[in-house]
Amino acid sequence: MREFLTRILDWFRRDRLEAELRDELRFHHTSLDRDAHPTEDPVTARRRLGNTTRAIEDARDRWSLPWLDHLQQDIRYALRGLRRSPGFAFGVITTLALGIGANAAMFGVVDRLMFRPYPMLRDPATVHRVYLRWNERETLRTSNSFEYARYLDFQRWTKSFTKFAAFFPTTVAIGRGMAARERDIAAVSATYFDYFDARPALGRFFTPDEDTTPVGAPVVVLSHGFWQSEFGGRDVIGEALQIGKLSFTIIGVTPKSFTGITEGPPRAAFIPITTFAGNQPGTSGREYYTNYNWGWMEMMVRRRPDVSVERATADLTAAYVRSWNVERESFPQLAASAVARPHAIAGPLKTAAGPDAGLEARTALWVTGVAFIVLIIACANVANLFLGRALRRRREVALRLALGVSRGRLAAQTMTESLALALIGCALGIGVAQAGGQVLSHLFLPDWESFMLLGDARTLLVAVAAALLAAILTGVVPAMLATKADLAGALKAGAREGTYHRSRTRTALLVAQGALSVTLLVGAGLFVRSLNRVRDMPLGYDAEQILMVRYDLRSTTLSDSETVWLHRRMLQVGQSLPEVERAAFVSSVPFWSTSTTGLFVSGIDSVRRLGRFTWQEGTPDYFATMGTRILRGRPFGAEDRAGAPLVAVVSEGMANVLFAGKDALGQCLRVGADTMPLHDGHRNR
Amino acid sequence: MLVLKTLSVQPMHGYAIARQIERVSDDVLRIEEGSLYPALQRMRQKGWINAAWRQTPNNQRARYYTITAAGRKRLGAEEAGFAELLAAIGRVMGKA
Repeated sequence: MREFLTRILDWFRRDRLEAELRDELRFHHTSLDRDAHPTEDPVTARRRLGNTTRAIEDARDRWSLPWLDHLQQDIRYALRGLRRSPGFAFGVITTLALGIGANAAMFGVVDRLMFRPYPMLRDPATVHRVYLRWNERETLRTSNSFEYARYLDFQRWTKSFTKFAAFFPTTVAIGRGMAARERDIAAVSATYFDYFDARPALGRFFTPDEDTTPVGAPVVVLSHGFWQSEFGGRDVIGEALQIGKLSFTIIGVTPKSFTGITEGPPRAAFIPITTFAGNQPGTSGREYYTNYNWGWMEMMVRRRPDVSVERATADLTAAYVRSWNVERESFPQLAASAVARPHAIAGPLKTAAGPDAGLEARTALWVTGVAFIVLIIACANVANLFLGRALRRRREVALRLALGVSRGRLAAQTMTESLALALIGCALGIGVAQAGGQVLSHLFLPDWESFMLLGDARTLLVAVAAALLAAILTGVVPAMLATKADLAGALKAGAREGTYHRSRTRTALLVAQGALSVTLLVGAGLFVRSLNRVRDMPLGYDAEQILMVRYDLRSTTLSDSETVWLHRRMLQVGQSLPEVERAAFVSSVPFWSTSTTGLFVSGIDSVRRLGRFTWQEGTPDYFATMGTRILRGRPFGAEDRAGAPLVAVVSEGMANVLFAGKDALGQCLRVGADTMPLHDGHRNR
Repeated sequence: MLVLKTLSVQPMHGYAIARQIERVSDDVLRIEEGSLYPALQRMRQKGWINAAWRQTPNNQRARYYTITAAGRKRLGAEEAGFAELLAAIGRVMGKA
């Protein structure tokens, strides 16, 4: 192997080696002449040394590689040929660049979304995220959220795993007073760090006795980025850091490229998961490790190397069924496990590759398929161009064959040509992929995922693989044609230049290319039409001009009167901003989240059977802010306050169903129950 | 083997290698440059020896060859094989 490499290296510097050898031999000769015996005839002495030319030629054999010489000739020939027909070269290179670029870009996206392992993760093949599946009212539900109690059950009742870790990405306020900022952190079990080949950049990670039920220790490990940006990388071990309502002690800093397991933005800090859970207000904080009311955290396991994924999944499922039955003892409303058929899956860490992949992952896979078809079309197109060229070159080829060029050499030459074009196309295609990838990553990837192709070995490798595939697909047919040439016929045909035989291969390629292109065009057309449909779908409000404002109390508890005051103050501030036309409070965002509740209308047995009616709470300016017209009656006003008669505004659709044939104004509606009211009436406008 | 053995004593240029072998073997073994230099190239490519240009004591530029660790290992193997062969030949000749 080493010898082979040296030989290739020597081939590249063969001119210098030869010059050196000449120098060496000259030195040999002068030394010989000098040392020659005075009695000896110099000619005899010279003869003693043998033939200089032969020495050089023998040595030259050591650094010449015939196939490498041929390859060099072929490449030169190919480039010369391309320079002579720039139109052909341009067409081929552009076509291939687009095909290869599209594939490289899509691979880059799909790889980031679904396959690329997390940095520093040790032996990623044995690490799984656990997914749960069960039937609920006839539909199959999939989830990757767990109760802490369930996590304990899985540890107790499975044998296929060496390690369990729980983690929960969340957002909290870090810091005090005005300096407090919303930060993304992760609450993780102490076992979490053992999954990585990571040593803390400073201090240590937390230990199992700092992560214990009921409440873990208030210790925090900072991420490298947060440590650098907030503390300038100084020694922070032992300092206090306010996270949410608690003061934590900094005990360590993660290494630089450590990201943990997160599908959200990078985490600023890591705290023990039992510290997080045990400090939750109410029953969650007290009972999170004994009851099954709070499914929140995510879970990963490390499979024993001698256990297959199938067996691990079966083991998990058995434990889940057992855990399900335990839960049912305290919560009898839960469907029996025979009905719900709960099962657990040891699946991929990235949810986009898991059993419940999101829309992005599925779309990205589809687009990858399309990109592949585009590459195939590009190859068919290029192969056709090559064939046309091969046909035009028939005489040249026949002549060369007649002169004794081996067919293998000819085929190699054709392959070199397509390979050279494909590689130039690949280089250009990487440029295309970088530009297109920026756009694609906006569509499919979260903002914090960077899309840089240079230095991304996996994607570059795929680009080169696509180029090789293209070279083979486009080169094989012309190469076969070149070697199968009918010599005599071609030479004779030369006399009547201009005769053009329609090749069956070319026709087949044209047909395939046309069919694929039409399919793609139809698909793209349908896609654009559905996109337009979605865009034109009437939402009932002008989404362009409406902004949603959300506030976070950072687990501060306010009394009712304080909340009312806060809302009033926020509305005032909002309305006084010069950029704001109107502001209103609303309980949910239409088409994002909705609430339904039981309704009763006199004369109707079951309102629920007539349709699904959602409700919304709003302040007086709500309708004006949303731009909703009031068809009859009036919108809410300042007079509709606590103590005033209860009023509601219903949609035209709802009025038509519930108050068919009657004027909806003045009708009664009971909200919050679907039975006959006893005393209080709810007036409706 | 002869070249490697010669180089295992000290680094030398091609001419010195040839002279050294001739001298040690009392002029029985003569090395032609026609076979010496191609052999040196081959051994360099196999990684047994390294080559570098240096000044000779009388201030001429010459290419000096140095034996590498791989070369020494090879030499050991060849010496063992050669000893075996010699012994075998000796036994055959002794019996004959």
